[in-house]
Amino acid sequence: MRTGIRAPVSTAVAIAVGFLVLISLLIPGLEDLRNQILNWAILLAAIALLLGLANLFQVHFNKVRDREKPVYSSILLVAMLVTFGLTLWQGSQGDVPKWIFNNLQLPIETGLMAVLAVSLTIAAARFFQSRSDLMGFVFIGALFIALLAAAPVFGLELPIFTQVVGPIINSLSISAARGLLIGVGLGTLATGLRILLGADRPYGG
Amino acid sequence: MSYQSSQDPEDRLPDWLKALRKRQSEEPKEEAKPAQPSQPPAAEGEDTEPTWLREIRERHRREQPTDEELLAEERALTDTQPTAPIKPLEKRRIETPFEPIELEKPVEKIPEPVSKIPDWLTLDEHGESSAAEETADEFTQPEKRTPAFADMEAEALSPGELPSWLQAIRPSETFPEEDNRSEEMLPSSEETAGPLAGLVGVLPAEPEIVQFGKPPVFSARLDVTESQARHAAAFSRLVAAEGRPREDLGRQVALPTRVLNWIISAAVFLAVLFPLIVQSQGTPRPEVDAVQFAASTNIFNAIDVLPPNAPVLIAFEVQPALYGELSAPAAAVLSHLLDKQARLVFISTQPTGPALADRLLQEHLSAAPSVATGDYVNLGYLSGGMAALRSFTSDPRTATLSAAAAVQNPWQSTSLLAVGQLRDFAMVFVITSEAEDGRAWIEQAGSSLPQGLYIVGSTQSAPLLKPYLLSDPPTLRGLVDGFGGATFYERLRNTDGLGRTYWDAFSYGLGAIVLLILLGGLYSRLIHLRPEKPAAQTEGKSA
Amino acid sequence: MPSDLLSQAGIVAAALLTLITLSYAFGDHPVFRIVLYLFIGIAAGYAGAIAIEDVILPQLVFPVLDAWNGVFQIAPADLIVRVVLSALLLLKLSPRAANLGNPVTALLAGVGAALAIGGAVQGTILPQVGAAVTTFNAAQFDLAMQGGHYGESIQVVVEGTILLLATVSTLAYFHFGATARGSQPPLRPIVVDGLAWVGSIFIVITLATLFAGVLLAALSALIERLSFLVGVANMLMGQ
Repeated sequence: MRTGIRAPVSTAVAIAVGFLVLISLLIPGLEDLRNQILNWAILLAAIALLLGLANLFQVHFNKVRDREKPVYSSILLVAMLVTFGLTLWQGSQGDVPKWIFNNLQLPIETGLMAVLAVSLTIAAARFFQSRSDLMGFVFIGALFIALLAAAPVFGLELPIFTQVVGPIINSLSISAARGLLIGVGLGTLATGLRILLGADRPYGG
Repeated sequence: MSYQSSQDPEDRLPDWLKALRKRQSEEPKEEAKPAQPSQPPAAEGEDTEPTWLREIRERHRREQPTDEELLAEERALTDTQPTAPIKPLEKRRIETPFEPIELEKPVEKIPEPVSKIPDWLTLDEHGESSAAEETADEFTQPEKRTPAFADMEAEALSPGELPSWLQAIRPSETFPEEDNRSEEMLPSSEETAGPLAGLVGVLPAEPEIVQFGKPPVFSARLDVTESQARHAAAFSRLVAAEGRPREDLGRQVALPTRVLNWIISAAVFLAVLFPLIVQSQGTPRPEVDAVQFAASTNIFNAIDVLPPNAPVLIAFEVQPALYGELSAPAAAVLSHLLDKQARLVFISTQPTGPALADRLLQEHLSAAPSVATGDYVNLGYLSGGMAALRSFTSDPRTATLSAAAAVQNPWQSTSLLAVGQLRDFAMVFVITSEAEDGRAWIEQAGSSLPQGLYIVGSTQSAPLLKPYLLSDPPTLRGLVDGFGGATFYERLRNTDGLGRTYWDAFSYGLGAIVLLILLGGLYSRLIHLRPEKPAAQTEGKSA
Repeated sequence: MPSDLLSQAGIVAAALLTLITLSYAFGDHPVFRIVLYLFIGIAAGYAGAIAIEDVILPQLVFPVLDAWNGVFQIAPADLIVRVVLSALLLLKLSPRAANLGNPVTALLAGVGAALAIGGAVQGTILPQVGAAVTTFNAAQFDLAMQGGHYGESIQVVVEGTILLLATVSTLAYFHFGATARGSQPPLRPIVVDGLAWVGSIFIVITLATLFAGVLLAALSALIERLSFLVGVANMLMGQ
């Protein structure tokens, strides 16, 4: 691990701002200062989003220029520019942007989620081809119970699952999920502290 | 903008110059090829090879087998070699794909990485070496590494194939693709010096003090089991595979498998379509069980005692992908709120959230007087993620609102006149498709809300949100999730809504899925009973 | 009426796009790819326009234009900071000057880290540890003991023990710290190792419920889409 501070300004900014915000969460009276910093962060996050879009545009523009699957990239670029221009022109509440969102974006995105139902069924059906040990059986067993406890099957209610086994699996999974959440929380804490102490510099330091 | 202006000069270049530039940009790629360990040796070296070796090399190149096949083949070929050639340790380290990055001390003894060796030097080496040495080089390559576990296909993750971002986030030696202990520390490593050089499992001939290299550090190492290491390696392969093109995947799937997939797809589609077409409503709805559905009952009870005109904040954190699922429970709960004459105030940290909230109101709740007259407030999109959320929850009136909302000056509306802080809302709901969004609201707003939050969620978010129902101090007071939650809530209210409409299709689709998984599992078990599975044999050996 | 025509065209377009997307369940094809790229373009364009409309214009552009005309909506110092930070971040577009944008991304990272720490401690770690501590239902146990229902009291204890074990063992699974003993390779303490094995079972159960959750959510989306298609078919057939 590199230990030398290569970007003292960036590191100092991250540490100072981070500690200011953290202290403001603990000590009353610093809310105004915190909100000021947060407002800057909100503005910068929006600009960062634009940078991401500019990068996406550049990548696909280069693909069209280099004739690397130009049809797909052209469609992406045209759709992006048209939606961007019309939404800016009419506002997000305008008729055309609403039409594009409701009749083009929403059906595709929901449709992709719907296809996932088939993909996951196929994956679960072929699960034993790749895994047939104890944990595999536990997984499939718990999966069956969780599914059968969710609703009646083919119109028939199965009380053994909905009222007996299902709640047991539910309780166990909640307790284990609690352990996972505590672990995630501790991981977040550790990662955040590493940034605030300058040990991690994800901003290019 | 600069990225656009940088394109212009390129376009103005004459064709011959463009071609030259393109060629120049391709040259370094070609140079870099020999640096990849998985690349075969140069063609010149093959001229001196015996025919049988060339055949194997060509087969190896032609087949480009999967990782498992590759490992099995390497093992088989290694087993046929009666004596492993003796090579200096330094040379082996050149070709090791995962060099420990901490090796600062002996750096002067380690030659330059292969990627920096020019072509002519690499080719010369192959040309000069004898055929036997080349054979040994090729076949003993797996032994040059020190795998953390026996059946791991480390070759699939050579550095040349890892995307740069993965390289960047890869903590040094956290994933045990390679054991970062020195080879001498491993029980089966070869002796590298003295008269016993080349033999495996002997005491070191040299005293430790003369051995160079980084001393092993035990306390800082992650201790992972073989199973965990296999999972980590599988995950790494999965991520690395993301960078590879997958154009021909459809062709690689065998026809019977494709037919099986079609049958599964058709079965699921038909099972869902049938009840929708005949509009059946025969499937029993969940029983009104206050214990089993305590979280949903809490929401019902809290809304039921809500006074008229109470301001209620709705955070509409819904991704368009799950709008279809969430529309049922959200419509059930919102219709209850509207019946109680609650003043609804919408906000979202998703760009598409406000549009989806409007769509839900117009599509399913337009009969409610306040929706028909537009007597609700949409604060719009709250940009900035967690920062915006914290800003809004600590002081809603100074938070940055969207332009459309700011023009309407919502804080002067009757719904929000009495609201100065988040706790001034009678209830705060989060309608969310992702557990992460729900968690963000709980974490950032929980401390500002002594009365707690209520969530209407997707079934995919519920398992990670349920622990918050039992947290101490309580942060989440109630949860309605998915079609099941919607159907139960409608039954509580003695109404029929979207939950009732979809319930039969949900039941039949679920039945088809369970049946297909069961049949698929049985089919897979039958396949596994067959003895001739190369992968299974490999696993058996390693175990 | 043009608006009616637009509405009808929208329904037909949505139905067609739904059909093409769902057809992916039977295999990949170029039309699906085209729809996929169309979706990415629309989503990106929409998000970018909203970021400009809702944040950049009101928070940066309009205040600067007003200041140019001598009207200060926000304090001049605040405005200068916003302009400077935004300009530095925009320099990330240029490969040569990208480094100048690092302090701005550092600011974002610092704010994000601080908020994440505060939220995780206040919102997750403390409440969840509190919940784990109170896993045993003491009130129910007391009631059962007072009423002489010893069987139920034992049940309360067993339930609490299993649930606490689930939480603790799940946490133990992610404990990778190990110490070396002499020349032996570093090993976890045997208690932690055993707990981790038990924890892996609970984790698998949780993953199964998560998988079931995603599957049910996807099934719900499929039902909604097919219901929409059935509605469109009925509409076209004049029912």
